[in-house]
Amino acid sequence: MQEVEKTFIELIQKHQNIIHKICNVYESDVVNKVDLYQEIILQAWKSYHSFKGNAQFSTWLYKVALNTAITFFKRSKKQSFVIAAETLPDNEDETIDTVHEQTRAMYKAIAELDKIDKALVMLYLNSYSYGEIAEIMGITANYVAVKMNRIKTRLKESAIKYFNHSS
Amino acid sequence: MELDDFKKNLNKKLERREFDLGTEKIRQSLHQQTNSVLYQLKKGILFELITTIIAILVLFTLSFILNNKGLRIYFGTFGLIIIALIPVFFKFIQMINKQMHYTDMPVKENLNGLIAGIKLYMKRYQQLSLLLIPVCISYAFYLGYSIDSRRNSHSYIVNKIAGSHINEWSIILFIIIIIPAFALVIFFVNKWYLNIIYGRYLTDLEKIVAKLEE
Repeated sequence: MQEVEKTFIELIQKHQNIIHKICNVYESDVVNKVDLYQEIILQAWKSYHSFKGNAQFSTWLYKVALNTAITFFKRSKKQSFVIAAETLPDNEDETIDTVHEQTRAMYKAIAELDKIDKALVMLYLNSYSYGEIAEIMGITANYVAVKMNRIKTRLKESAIKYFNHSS
Repeated sequence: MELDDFKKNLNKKLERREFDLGTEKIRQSLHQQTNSVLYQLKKGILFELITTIIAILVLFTLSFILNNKGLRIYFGTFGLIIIALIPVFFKFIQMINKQMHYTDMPVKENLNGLIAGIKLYMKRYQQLSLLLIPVCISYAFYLGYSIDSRRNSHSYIVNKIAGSHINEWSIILFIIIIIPAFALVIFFVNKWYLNIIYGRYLTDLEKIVAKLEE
């Protein structure tokens, strides 16, 4: 194995929670989730030469993963996967309690968002500042703030709706 | 639950459970076939490149085997003209390859780059197709009228289309009418074809960009 490939795989292994989170938010179908997972790893590998190390790898990976997820359209043909669907954990916890139900409701609410709003939520959940989110998305920080306020309100309402529906 | 509470829960959960796919599976993923929009676009262009090469071979073969001199010149010339399309296809493939290797741009910039690339390709495709129509028709008439009429004293193409008792002005008028009519048909056929292949991607991408600007 080449040294570059080895370093890249180590970095991906270290940061694979990012890809996992993005796949869970962008795809509900298991086959598409696996497909997106592989697509993100592949796109990251293809673009890896442009990673100069002056930014954090996690931020760089977020950009690649979000660009891939946003422009990822459902596969029409079946393909053999390297990663088996069972190896990807799902969004749900094993324990069933109120917090778990609320978390499930929030996941459902996030799943309803459009691709851009999902990207903003993903970055927000990863504790990026509005300035950093703006840089990754290519928009202004003010716009991120406005959008996030709208998204938070919408998610709160949707999550309550889903929680009441399930309980 | 609010988004901030969800964030706290999620972070706690992630601290508890580290997700590990394993070196081998990641390594294998690096050598899989991509399924991105750009790859689909590249596949479309490669298909058009292959059909263009086949068309060139057919045109050159016809230019050698046909008995009619006018048709031989016609097919030979268009074989040469179509060769000029090959660098255009390669330029687009090069552009796609470049974009495929820089997916770490800001999201909006990446989307705009994709949209611009697809639109440019669709535009050039229409322009080249429409440009070839008047050239093809005028050239066919010119060859049919000059070479065949010189040889047979009756123009093969003119006789075929409108009978033998017509003057040059009628032919010019006929060309003037047929070119826009033909161009219109080609324009809509191309539009339909491009829309089927790239239209869905373009619409989806434009909707996403619109979301970033609303």
